[in-house]
Amino acid sequence: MPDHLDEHAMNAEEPITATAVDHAIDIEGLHKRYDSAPVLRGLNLIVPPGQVYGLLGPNGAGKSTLIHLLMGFLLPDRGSIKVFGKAPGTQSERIGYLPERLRYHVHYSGREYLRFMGRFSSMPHQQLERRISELLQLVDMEEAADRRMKRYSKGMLQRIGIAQALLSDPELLLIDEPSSGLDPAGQYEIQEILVNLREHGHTIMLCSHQLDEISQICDRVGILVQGQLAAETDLATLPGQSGITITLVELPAEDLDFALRSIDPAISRAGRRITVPEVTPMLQKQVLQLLIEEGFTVASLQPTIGTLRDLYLHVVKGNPPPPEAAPPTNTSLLDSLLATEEDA
Amino acid sequence: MRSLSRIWAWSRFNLAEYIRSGRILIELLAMVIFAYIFLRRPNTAAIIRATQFFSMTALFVLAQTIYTTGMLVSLAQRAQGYVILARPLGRRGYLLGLFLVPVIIGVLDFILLSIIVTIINKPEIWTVPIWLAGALPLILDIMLVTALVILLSGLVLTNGWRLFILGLVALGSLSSADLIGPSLSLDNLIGRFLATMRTLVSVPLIPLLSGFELAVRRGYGSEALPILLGQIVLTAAVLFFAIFSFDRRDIILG
Repeated sequence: MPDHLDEHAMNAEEPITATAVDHAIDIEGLHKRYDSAPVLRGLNLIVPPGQVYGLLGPNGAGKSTLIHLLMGFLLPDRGSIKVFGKAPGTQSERIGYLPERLRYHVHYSGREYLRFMGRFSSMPHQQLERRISELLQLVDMEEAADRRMKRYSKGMLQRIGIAQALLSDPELLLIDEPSSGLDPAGQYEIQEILVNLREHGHTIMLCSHQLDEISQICDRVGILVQGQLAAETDLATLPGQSGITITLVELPAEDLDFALRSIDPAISRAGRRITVPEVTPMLQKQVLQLLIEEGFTVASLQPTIGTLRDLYLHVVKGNPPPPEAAPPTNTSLLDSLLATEEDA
Repeated sequence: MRSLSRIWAWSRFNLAEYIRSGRILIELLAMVIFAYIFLRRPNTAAIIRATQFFSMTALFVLAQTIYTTGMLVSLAQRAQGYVILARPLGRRGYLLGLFLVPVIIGVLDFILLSIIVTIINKPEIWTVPIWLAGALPLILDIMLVTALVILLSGLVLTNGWRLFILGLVALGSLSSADLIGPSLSLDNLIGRFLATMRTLVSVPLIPLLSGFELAVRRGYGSEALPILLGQIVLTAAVLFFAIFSFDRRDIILG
């Protein structure tokens, strides 16, 4: 299937342009099984160039499998997967990869290791040496660069791992659990480096369990549950606060609004629905107490999804995502052509 | 050209790691023990002949090549390999770079043993042409054995295919006497089928065994060139199948 048709199939509303074709990552209907166990089940995902995309999910959700498919280590059973418009594994120079719990060839020093990695990429000698010095500076490993890696701490090893991923100045970085196994100080150091990379305009796909890490670094986040994208949203659109929505059986009079605002001015009401945007146990108790004293019957009380944590916990329990965080659906080429015909 | 330099860089990387990790010491120790037991001159009358040297050394070097290749494949199957495979070296370069290392170590082993025997127990007739005549088929056998071990490794083939090919190799290696026992005569349909199969599957092993024989006897008659060509063709075919299979399978290292 030609790229432009394929792209059109992904999103019928999007105009077909050159930039749309060149998504950094473009996945459609991806299926992958290990033995007989399905790991990815019809995954659809697009990451445009320049975006920092965070992939969250519980253990076994398929995050590392997805990264391995993007690197071309694994082959898809079904569906399409493209990196910069081409099959995975064909554009290694444009991709930097940091595996989960990276194990190292510890008989080399950090500098020697980076030198060898550069030779696998056929980088000219002088350019390679210059690049290695820059990267060692970036990850703050200049002093330890000539020590054997078996003497490095986990944090130092991970910093060398980041340096090797950046060696060819890749356009896309695939980073799998960068803080895994690190102490809080080590996690902080790695986050600092990743924030720095983000500012340099790299496209990044970051898999992590760390919600804070994702929140700090990423523009957009997808939550993978049982091999499918259960939710996807721009982090900027999340209010950042956890609240509740109370629905009453009766339609209250306007007097109630004054009473509610006297508890907290941020509380609002629309019809039978009362919204408390930033809730604490005390505030919730006060509001409910007021409603009971005024003789109202509470039909439902639901937490609102205001933070990434809320969204994550909501969808991993199997709940449907809120409409604003609904993942893209699998639109086939036939569907999109039919839709175009109907529009016409 | 770029691909070749990447493959060579990967081979050097493996070789350096093999040496730095100390694994090479096991091979050196085995070589010293072998030379002490089989190559030294226990008394002044016991001079070794070139045929004896090549027959013993070829067996030792080929056995050591199997060990070295197995060790290197196990190193390449570690999770460390993901970062290498993520480079432009690619899957083919990964396998070819790996192939070169046991070949280099095997050839160096053989050269070292040749130097040792020259020093401690120089064979009766020992010239460069005689050495080359034995060395050439032996080096080709080292390459062939390395390629076979890589092909039969878990890195390249799934367990089902490995068992199937090992079964064929076992069948091909059996003699008719082993295969056709008293309870299974050649007249029997199954007996005839197995005998035919054995003949068929043993054909690919002929260059390996003939190469060994040529290294030992060094009789370069009319049959020598087909043997050498057979070794080269079989090595290339085995490598081709290994690359073909490695290109088409999921890589799960760890």
